[in-house]
This record gives sequence, C-alpha cells and structure tokens, in this order.
Amino acid sequence: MTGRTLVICEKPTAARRIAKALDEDAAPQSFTERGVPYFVARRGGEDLIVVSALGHLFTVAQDGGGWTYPVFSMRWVPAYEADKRLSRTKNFIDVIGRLASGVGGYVSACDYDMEGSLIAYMILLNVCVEESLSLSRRMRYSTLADRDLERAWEGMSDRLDFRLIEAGKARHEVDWLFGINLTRALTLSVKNATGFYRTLSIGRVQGPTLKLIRDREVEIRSFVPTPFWVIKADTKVGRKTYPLEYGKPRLETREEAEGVASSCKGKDGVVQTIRTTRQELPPFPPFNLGDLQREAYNKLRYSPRTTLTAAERLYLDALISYPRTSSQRLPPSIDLRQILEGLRRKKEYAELAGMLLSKQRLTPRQGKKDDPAHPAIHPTGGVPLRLGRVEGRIFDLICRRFMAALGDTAVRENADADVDVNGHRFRLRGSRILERGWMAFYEPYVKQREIELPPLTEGQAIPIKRVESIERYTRPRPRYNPSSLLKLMEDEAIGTKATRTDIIDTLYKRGYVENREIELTDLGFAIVETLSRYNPEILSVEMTRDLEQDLESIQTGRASAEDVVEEAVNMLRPVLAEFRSKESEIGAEIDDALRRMAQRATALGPCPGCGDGEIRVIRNKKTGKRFAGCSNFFEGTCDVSYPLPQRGSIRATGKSCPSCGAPIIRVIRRERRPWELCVNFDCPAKEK
Amino acid sequence: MDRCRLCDMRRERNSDYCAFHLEAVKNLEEAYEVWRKALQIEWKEFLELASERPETGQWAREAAINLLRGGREA
Repeated sequence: MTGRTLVICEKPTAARRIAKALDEDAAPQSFTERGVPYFVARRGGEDLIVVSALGHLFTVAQDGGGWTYPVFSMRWVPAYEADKRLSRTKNFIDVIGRLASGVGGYVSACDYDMEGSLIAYMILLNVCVEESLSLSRRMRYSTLADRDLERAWEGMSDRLDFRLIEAGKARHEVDWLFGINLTRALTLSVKNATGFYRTLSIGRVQGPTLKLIRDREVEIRSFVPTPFWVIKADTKVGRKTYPLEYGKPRLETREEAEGVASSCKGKDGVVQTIRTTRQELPPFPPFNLGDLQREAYNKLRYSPRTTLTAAERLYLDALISYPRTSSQRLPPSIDLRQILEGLRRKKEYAELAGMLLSKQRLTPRQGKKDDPAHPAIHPTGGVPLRLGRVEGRIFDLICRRFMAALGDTAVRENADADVDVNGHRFRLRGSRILERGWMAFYEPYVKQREIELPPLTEGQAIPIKRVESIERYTRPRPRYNPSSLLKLMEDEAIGTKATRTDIIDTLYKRGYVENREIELTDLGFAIVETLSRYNPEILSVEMTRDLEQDLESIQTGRASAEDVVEEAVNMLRPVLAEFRSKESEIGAEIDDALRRMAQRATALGPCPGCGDGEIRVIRNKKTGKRFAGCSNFFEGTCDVSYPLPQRGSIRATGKSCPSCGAPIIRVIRRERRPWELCVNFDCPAKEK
Repeated sequence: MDRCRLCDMRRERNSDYCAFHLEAVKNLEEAYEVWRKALQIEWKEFLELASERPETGQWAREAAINLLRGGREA
C-alpha cells in the first residue's frame, strides 16, 4: 500500500460530496486539471484521490468499418472516439489515468446500480493497471448525505459487484446490436429502393413501445361512439340540495330514459333504507421512481423527464435518496427519527414532523415492490437553502409522501340512503372523513370530496326538485400521456426504471410521436405499419420482455452475459436476413408511405367550388408563404383559394364548414390551445 | 387499383378499403345496431349523426361520409 487510494465517482457533484464526507476535516483539497475537477481527502492516514467520470467514458462501437448490416462484431472504445460531441471525455480519461498511477487501492463509488457499476469498471479496466480490478472495493450508498457516505465507506465490500457489471455490459451490447442493425436496415432499405438518404431509426424497446401507441391510435381513429342516457335528479332537504344517483348508471334507449324522467317528475321520494359504513384508508407507500413520476404528472403536470431531472438534482444535493429505485419500502436501517428531526428545521414541515416525532413508534406503510439495491425515495433530512421552482415542488411532494407513509390510517364514514321515487330506485350518497390520519401530512396532494347527508329517517318523504334524462355518448379510451405510457411500459415489463423515460424522449426526438397526449405522427405510422407487415418480431412486446428477463437474470447469476448477448444475435440474425430479402419492398413501402403522408398532410378537404377537387396547402415559390388552393387549379378548371395563418402547423379536421362548405382546419401553435376555423376568410358565418 | 378509396393506402383483399378504414366501417356497422335500438333511426341518419359527433374517430368519420355519398360498404 502506498497510502493513496483512487475513489471513482460518477459525476463531479457526487465527487465533491463524497470527498467532503470522507475527509476527516470535511475540507478536502480541490484541484482542476484540463477542466477535470478532482479532490484529495485525508482519512485514516491515507490520501483518497476522489475523481469523477462524466457518465460513461467508454461505449460500444463497431469493430471494423462499413456502414452496412448485419453487424455483430463490436468492442468497447473511449466515448470520444465513437461520438465527436463527447470530446470532453478525453480529458477525464487522461486525467484519471495520470492520477491512477502509483495508487495502492481503488474504490468504485459510482451510484449503486448497473450503470454506475459499469462506469467504474470500464475506467478500472481501460485506464488503470491490470490488477486494479482485483484490488477494487465497492461503496454502496443510497443517499449522498455525509453520515450515509461515511457508513458506506466503513462497510464497503472488498470486491466489485461483477454480476451487476456483467448485466450492465450485456444491456449496452444488446441495445447497441439492435439499434445499429435496425437503424441501418431501415435507412438502407429506403436508400437502396429510392436513392434518397434519410436516417430512420428504431431500437429494441422503442419498437414495441411505438406499437403500443399505434394500437391505441388506431382504436381512437376508428372509434364510433354509441348513445346512452343518464338520469340526473336532485332533492332538497332543509335548505340544501343533494344529487340523487339513479339505480342504473346507463340507460340504453331514449324511450326508457324519458319514461323514467317523466314518471319521476313532480313526485316525492321516500327514504327506504339508510346504511352507514366505516372505511379505513391506509396511507400510500413511499415513492418509487414510477410512482413519483406519475404523481408529479397528475398533481403538478410535470413530465416524467422533468421529474427525473429534478429528483436527480435533489439527490446530488443530498436532499433525497437515490431516485432510480423500484422499491416502495423503507427498511429498518433508515433512521426515520433523524430524518424527521432534519425536516423539523424547515418551517413548512415543523409541525407535521413534530406530530410524527411525538409518536412512540414510527412504522412506515410498506408497498409491495422492492429493490435489492435501494430503498424507496425518501428525504435525507437535509434542509435546502434555496431550490428552483420544479425541484422545490418535487422535494415537497417527496417529503409529504414520506411523512404520510408514517401517518395513521384515515377513517371515512360512508352514508347511503335508498330513495324510491314512483317505483324507481335512486341513491343519496354521503361521505365524511372521521379521522384524517395520514391525509393531514399529504396536503395539498390529497383531496377528499365530502358530502354530509342531512339527518334522515326511513319512510321520510323528500321532494324531487329536478329530474331529467341526459343524452351522452361513449368516448374512446384516451391517448397515452408520458405518465400513462410509462405505467404501460412498466406493466408490460419493457425497458427498465432507468431507461423508460429516455425511450419516451427518444420517440419524441425522432419525430415518431408528438403532443402531450401522445399522438403517432405520419412517420411513426409509416415505420410501424411497414415493420408490422414485414418484420413483426421487431415490434413484439413478448420478444422484448423475454430479452429483458434474460438481462435481469444475469444480475441474479442465472444466466451469463455471453449467453444473453449471443441469444440477442440469434434473435436478430433471422430478422435481419428477412429484412435483407425484402429490402426493396420495405424501402419502397416506407418511401411510398412517407410521400403519401406528406401529400395527405397538405390535403385539407374537398373543394366547395368545383366539387371534385381537393383543397391543399400550397407554398408560393417566390414569397415562401402558404395558402390553400384547389388541386384543380393546375388543370385550369377551378381557382378557389384561401389565405392561411402563416404561423403554427395546420391540420385537416375532416370537417366542412356548415355555412360555406370550405374545409375546417386546426391550427396548432406552441404553448397555445389549438383552434379550429373555417379556412374561408369570407365565410358568412364569420361575418355574423 | 389496389389503393383504399379513402386514403390511398394499400386496400385489403376483397374490399375497397385499407385495413384502417375497413376496421372503421366494421365499427360503424356494429355501432349502428346500438344506435338503431336506442334512437329508432335509419342507416343514413345514423351516418349523418355519427359523422358529426366529436367522439367519432377520423377514419370512422371519413368512412361515414364516404358511405353517405354512396360509397359501398366493406
């Protein structure tokens, strides 16, 4: 031992925190070399050189040249060699290499997960001396709070977590194999069929995700509503009006609905039976990542990406535990009182934390899901000095959820009264919270609608103030939003908690989906439809799920990384061979679909002037401005044209103006509500 | 001509429509049974009403309008 140990961290912010926590005086020396920060901490008579990576410094790349497919030969290379945009990683590799010379020990202190383990492993393997792998130890921590880091240092394992590393390595290699081969297959199919180059990409998890979105889109676009009727009625007891629910939630014919309404009109109701029940409402378990992202979307309208970014910042600020966790459980090793003592220092939580601290025993509500690596997301007890708006709200959500999980069961009283109105059964529903329990801690994120019923007796007559039948129509299931899509991916077991958010982002970036209520674009449709026809395996949820399970089994030692990568190659081989054999058809079909869809995107609807032409969006070649004109203009048989808004995107609605017959268009502008208008500037309806 | 009469996509075998519009036509036919029972209306009136409903999907609307204009069924 030379008295110097290299401690490898994942990010510069984490390195700073770790160095400070491990230094005996909490004041490590700080250095920067070629823009790379590192720290020297003193502990137990030893110098700890705390260095940082910049995420992954090494990546998978093709072994050999040529832009073709299939490609199954790969190797790990420095990230800057594979992607010029990552040139900064060269400095990190060089500086770590210099600092590693002559050290006697190595510690992997990256985040305790697959990616973190792989980042440190690749640095040790490629930058440090050969025996570094056998001399390396592993710190395992779930928060960047000083006490947890010190505990992790004292209790670190004397070897690297090789199963996690193997699983991470295999995942990168499998994803690379799918990504590179399918992207090249798609792109080359169009290029070879048409001569035009356009990058079209698809990944291992993106394909099945896109297919799930496509299935919902097809369902919505071919949906036909059906009518039904509901009976709405009110009664007045004392001075207050109460809604009455009709016994049948839906009536199938107008005749039946109108019959019920007319037979109840002007009649009194008679209270038949009154029931009161007590319902216990246990608190929610603490958050795992998926729950946090969904709750933040539902309550704060933050996208999963926004929530994850904010949570990662809070983690790096040592305010919350590691967010990429599946666990909904808080193990006994977590000092709940210490966390609450910390939260009590913050004005907003002082009273609530005090209430919990006054309890004899703190027993958190535990969820079903667990994660061997990390507990549920919880505050560390650290108090933020200043937080941005998003981080502040996410922090508040996490703190309140944590405290609510320690709260008592809430109790609600439900009171129902059956009311007979001229032979028709209605129900008067009431509910009130008897004991708020955990709800007091989860304000304002929990809302209870309380209707307190008046004192009623069986046989009492109550007047019916309003009764009417209302016609309604069934609706299609809604489009996915980023939050519900995330949940679907979780339920279908495709992707991992760490990758799902990125996959959804990628679908947006590639132009396959758009809008918050996720809508498949024409390009997305073209890709899914063509692959469904020729290579349905690529879109198969089952195949992706099976591979996902195999990747997970590397972690548990039930499968080897080599076998899983080989299995992926064996899955891809026939798919790519099939692709190659039908390349010209696939390419022509995608190209055809893209052209058709581009043409359709300009079509707004039938021309009201000539009747057989189509109103299309046309650009003036001189001015670049757009307008709408009849397709028969170029035949010289129709000269109908309309001006168009020059900003935003324009979509056909399939509707024609009832007043003038011109197409109705939808104009979509960023950060504005889409609006629909008749394309005819001189439409008589507008003059009115 | 192997194109759908509504969207120029490849049409299904023994049909004038692509798979999507064919699905929409089938949905219209199924829904008509519910509408007929509920409102005692004829096919044409149903098509008119269904094509005006905001809940009706784009392909179903296109199919309904086409059928109203005398387009053949599936």
